[in-house]
Amino acid sequence: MSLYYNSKQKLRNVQRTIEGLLDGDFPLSSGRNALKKLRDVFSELEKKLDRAHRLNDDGAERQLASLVNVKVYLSLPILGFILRSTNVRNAFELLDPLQDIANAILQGRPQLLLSSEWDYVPFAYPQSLEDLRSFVLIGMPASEAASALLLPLAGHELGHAVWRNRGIGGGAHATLQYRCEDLYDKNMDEFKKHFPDYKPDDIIYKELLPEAIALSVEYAVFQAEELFCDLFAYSIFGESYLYAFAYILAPGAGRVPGSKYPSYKTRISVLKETARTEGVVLPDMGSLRFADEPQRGIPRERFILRMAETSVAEITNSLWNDVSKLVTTGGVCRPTSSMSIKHLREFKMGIPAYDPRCLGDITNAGWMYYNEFQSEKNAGRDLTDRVDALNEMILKTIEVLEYKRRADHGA
Amino acid sequence: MVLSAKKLCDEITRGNECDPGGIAVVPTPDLSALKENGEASVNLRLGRWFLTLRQSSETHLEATPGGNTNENKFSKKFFVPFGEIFVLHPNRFVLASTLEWIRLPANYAAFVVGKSTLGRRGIIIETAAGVHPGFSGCLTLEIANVGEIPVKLVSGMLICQLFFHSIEGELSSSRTPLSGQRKPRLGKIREDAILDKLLKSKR
Repeated sequence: MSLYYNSKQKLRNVQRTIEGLLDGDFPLSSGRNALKKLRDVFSELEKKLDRAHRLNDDGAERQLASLVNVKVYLSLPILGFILRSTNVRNAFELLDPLQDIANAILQGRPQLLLSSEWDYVPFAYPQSLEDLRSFVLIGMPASEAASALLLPLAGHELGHAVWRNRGIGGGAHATLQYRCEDLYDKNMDEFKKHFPDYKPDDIIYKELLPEAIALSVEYAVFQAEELFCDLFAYSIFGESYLYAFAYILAPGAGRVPGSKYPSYKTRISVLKETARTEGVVLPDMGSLRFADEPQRGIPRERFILRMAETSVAEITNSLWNDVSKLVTTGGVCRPTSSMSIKHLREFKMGIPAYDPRCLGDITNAGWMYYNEFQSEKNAGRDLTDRVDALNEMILKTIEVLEYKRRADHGA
Repeated sequence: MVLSAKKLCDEITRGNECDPGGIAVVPTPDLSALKENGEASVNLRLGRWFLTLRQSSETHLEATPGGNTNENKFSKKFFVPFGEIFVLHPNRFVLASTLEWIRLPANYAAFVVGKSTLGRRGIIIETAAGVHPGFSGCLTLEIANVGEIPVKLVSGMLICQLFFHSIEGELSSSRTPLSGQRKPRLGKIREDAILDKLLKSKR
């Protein structure tokens, strides 16, 4: 058995798979472009492998064979993602306006791919794939893929791409490092209580302090990124982000929260407080009964997490400033209550809006109407049919947004 | 009576501004061109969703109520972005939707007519042409190529025209405003009590 021929076979099979996928119907060229990019990666790898074989370079051949395994391993889930992005269960109307926002805010004009995934939690592969650095891949849950009301969640996922692409993460890391060091300094007695082995003069045990700080900083950076993405989605979609967030997550799973995510309560209160500074009162989510997330069991873990959370709380204003600056300089349209109410009136008349200006107005109107359905007497009656019809009007309005942009400006 | 260009423009302006007595057409057609050319119809554009029938393990398609209900078994959906093409081959048939969403009040009805320039190229549009008062949604177009060469259809192209007329006599519309669709569908065949009796009376 030959390592070379096995690797060749694997490369040919993956390239054949990509060729097959290229025959699919893509709503925008981004999916096809991503496939071509991956095809080029494997084609280049095959050339290198052939050359190593020709030169009888065993070491290089072995290394390349190993690389083939890694690349195929990493690429297959992405190929699946791209395939699912062509499925007609997706609401393809959502892609263009999101791409528009990505163009306005992200540097390098990355191409957006929106797919429906067999994963309940929306997620993003935000330019972290070595071979697809110029692409942003956002996955929405397959069961909700056609729901325009959940579009604001894609805004959160786009926020992850912004966090990396615009270097927000790097700046936040430095600030949080400083804040955490300061917090540990101020809470040294408590630290010593939780870490009784700590000895500042001992060559080994003195390391407990920087290790704890590093862990707090790590958690803080993750949590700050999540809050940044919440604020980014809020800035584009307004209160409809909070509704979409609550729809998908409430009442929570009742588990101990992961250290990398802020608690639901924190996330909601940050959004509410930010909205308040803009004179917007966000709805009370009390009726959805978000569960109180139980605390972690070990006191020293709780301490490390508390330091992280406190440091993040100190920078939420600056996160919002970053978001505002990006959205303003990118010229991204923000929702207004007057336009949202106008669209609500149109939806109630059974018509999509003929003059939409921004996505947030449309989703806000959608959620307002959705909430009205639920507050009616006999709300359950025909609710699904009514929500379906509302969804059709929202998607048509989003399509009108794209149509007007193309027809009026040829863009 | 068929509405004139001016009346049409007035009614569409009212309808799009949420006047329940007006006619809504979204996105708004070029009303100034309509006024200028004085035509008595509104040109509509081809939407982006298509549905074709396909071969499957099912033996046939029912044309009476209560028949096959799963349209996915018989059909395949396509999304064609603006400006992209869908080729309709000779003797093939496709369902599409108008780009425009129409809402008619209780006092107006409409009928869909193909465009003569497309007809001359073999493209026949819409065989169930009536649009009833109270309708809300995108119109499903039944498009067939009865010519001898394939024809390129482009999403967003002008595809048909809609004539509107007023309703005489007592007005009634039981349609709910929340009933529209943006994609073409095979749709359910409405219950037919008489056909039901005829079927049961078989000896």
